[in-house]
Amino acid sequence: MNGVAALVGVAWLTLRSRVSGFAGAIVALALGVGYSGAAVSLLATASALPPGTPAPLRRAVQESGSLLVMLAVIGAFATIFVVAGTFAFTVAQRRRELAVLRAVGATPGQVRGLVMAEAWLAAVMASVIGTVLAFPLTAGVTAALRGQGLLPAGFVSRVSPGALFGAFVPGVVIGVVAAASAARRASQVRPAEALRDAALAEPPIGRGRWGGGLAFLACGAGMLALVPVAPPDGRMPLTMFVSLPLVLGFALLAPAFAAWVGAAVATPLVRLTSATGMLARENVRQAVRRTASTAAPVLVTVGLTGSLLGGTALLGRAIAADAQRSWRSDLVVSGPGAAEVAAVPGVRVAVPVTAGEVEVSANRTERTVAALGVLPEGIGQVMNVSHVAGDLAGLRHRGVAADRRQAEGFGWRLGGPVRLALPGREPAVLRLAAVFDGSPLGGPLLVPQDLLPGPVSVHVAVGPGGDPRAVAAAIERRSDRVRVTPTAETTAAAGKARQEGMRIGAVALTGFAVAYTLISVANTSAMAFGSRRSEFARLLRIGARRAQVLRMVLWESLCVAATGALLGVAVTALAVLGLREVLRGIGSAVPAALPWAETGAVVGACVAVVTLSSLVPAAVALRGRHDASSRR
Amino acid sequence: MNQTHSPDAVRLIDVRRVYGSGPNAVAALRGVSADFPARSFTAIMGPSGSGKSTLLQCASGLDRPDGGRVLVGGVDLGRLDERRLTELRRDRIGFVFQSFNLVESLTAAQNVALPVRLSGRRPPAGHVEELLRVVALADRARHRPAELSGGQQQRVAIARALAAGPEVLFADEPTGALDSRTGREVLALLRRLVGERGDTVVMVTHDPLAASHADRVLFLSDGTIVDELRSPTPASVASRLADLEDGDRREAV
Repeated sequence: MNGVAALVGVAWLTLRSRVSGFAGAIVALALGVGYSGAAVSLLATASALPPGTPAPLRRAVQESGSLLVMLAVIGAFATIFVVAGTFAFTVAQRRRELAVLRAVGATPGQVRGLVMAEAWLAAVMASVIGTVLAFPLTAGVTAALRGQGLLPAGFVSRVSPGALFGAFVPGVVIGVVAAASAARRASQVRPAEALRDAALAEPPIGRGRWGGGLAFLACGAGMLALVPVAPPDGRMPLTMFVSLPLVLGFALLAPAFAAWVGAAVATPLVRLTSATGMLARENVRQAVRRTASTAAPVLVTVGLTGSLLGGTALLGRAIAADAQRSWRSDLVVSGPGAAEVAAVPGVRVAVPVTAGEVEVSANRTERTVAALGVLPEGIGQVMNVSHVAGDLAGLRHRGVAADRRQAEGFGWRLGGPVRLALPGREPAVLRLAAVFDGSPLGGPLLVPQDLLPGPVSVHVAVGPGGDPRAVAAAIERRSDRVRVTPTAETTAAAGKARQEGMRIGAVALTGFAVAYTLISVANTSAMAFGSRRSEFARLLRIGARRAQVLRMVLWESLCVAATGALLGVAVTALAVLGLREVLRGIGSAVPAALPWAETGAVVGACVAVVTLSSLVPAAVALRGRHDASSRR
Repeated sequence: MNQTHSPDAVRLIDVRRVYGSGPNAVAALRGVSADFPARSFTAIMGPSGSGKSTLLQCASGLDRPDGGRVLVGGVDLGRLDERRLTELRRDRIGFVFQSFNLVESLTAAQNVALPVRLSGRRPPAGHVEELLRVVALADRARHRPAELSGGQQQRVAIARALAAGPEVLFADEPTGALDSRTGREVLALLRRLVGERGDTVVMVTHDPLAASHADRVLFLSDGTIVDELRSPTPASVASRLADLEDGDRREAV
């Protein structure tokens, strides 16, 4: 390539003179790099825990680690989105300048190279800033996780050079990759566009964009379809991430709807105002590309919030309902002497159960799975185990029983070996004694009780016609040291705790994503409105007052924000209702509730950010209006 | 530059250009043939919509004609792919725009050096300073476009157009965005380039006063060349243009 030095020189100067335009990309990328540096540091510290570290500490570190990994995935997604959006925008705004370069002799390859050089410079700059940010962020994240009780009080994480390097390199790569499509677009600018105001309207949505948008929507639908066939412990992350391709697909297709959604939203304004509403509506409708690219970050913010929170709430409720249904017992008895309740009149069967977790080694991976330590006698009368194949009695002789689908997922065969590590014991090889149809979401594994020690709770089924409350009272009379609760209450409490845990995770993910995409909202809207200096000056010259121009900007920003929010709610509805249908398909029907409160709060935040970041640059542009009218 | 100058810097042979297709097709050029001799200053005039700008775009390789041939320094532009065409435009054609089109982030000197640097070379020592001296802006070399007046920006743009030593300089309404005094300065500069340096200038304008600075004026109407005026004066150009516009109006009635 000719003139590389010249290009890098021009790129550097462009970057320097357009810092505000690139600021969003740089801030987003720097935060992403800093954050992943912090996350990886934390994980590195955690994995290097000294051998004597107590198990609860190990576990806590692992759990927060996997939350951080999910955050990193969302972070990478948001970063690519923000950086790609920013670069697309700077290219769209510089069409004329790029056309001039083409006219004075830059080849298409050189123009592409120029934008890529800018991307390299911006990405390296952002990654250096991010590396520095990683230090305070590591301390901050550790403190936050300690505060939430997810990490023990004494935990101190160190920033590791490997982690910094591991964040720096992807940061640069993500920055450069995200700019690639903008660079391609830049290289297609025709030199004739440099002539006068021959601004040829580009098609609002090209074929590649249609293809990409539909592909992402299909990918989202595919992920939804995978939920029922995925192994039960893979369903949770699948539901969390199903929103990403849906959101991206909608964002890509946004230019196709933005014009008429925006115009529809603006129509009432036209009636309420004299001129400013009409101007705003026509601006929103005519500049489709600009409207769409300003609305897109709002769409992503609202869509991510709604579908992450809505999806996890739905899944949490399904899991809770599932737990309710997996027990047939009436009462749960715990405490010393609980084992003797079988003798109480009215008790048909009493089955002692221990609960815990086991490590399963299957498909060359280790997975932690919930397990119940049981005795085979009477188990069918306190649990919903239908269509049993094999023999549950095998649970006595180093056998385990599993949900049919779960067993399939692990590749276990009836009578075949099952490799487990039990808490505090060496890994052992057991035998799959029985499979059954448990819960749709994959219930716990059943293992022999002597292998899973722990506090025993006794599940009690009351005989036909018996009154569980009377039986409970009878049990409590025998000993005041036992606790008796209805099974429904116990499972509801457990389900609630689980749902709360999932909600905290989802809120953490969402909060992080929102903080991130709001940067992009502010950046695009500031760029979009700040660049319309000459248009505002023209309005002033034909007699508009400053206040009128600012009102027009306000209406416009409200319309754009509303457009993004509407499309975001559409994504949410699609994701949540789709997931509900999927869950219904696997036999777990729960009512879907869209997370209105959180979505509303995020919409409010978006509207505030869009209006603020449009009015401020517009006001600045109007202040310098003499400058704007005398020079181009 | 090492090339022997052919007597005609630019030749157009039966150039046609149609925009759009089907019933919406508009023929902007309907077979234009013209020669632009080296060391000449030609103005192209015509009523709006007559195809002036299309002619300029086709002649300068910014746009490709649908029919006919365009030769610049003896090279047929139609035979060049996009990259070679860009390189030819870079090395052998200078372009001056109505709206100056300087790169805002570069200084005057950097803007002037840009075409040469885009070709992967460095401008020879003193080259940029020399060009800025030609346009009388040697003292503004380190200023950015925003710090220059309109007339000064246009002179920087002219220096940029001259940077690669082009065979021909195309100017599209070069005084359109300037007041009449600075406009005259720019026209005098173009005149001097032809007279003193032996450059070739082709200029599109709608201003009879501007056109009177040229050696000859070509009149374009409805996509064809309808007249030619040598040694023009503002009055003779204005009256010829008025005739053409009247003709248009009579046709429209």
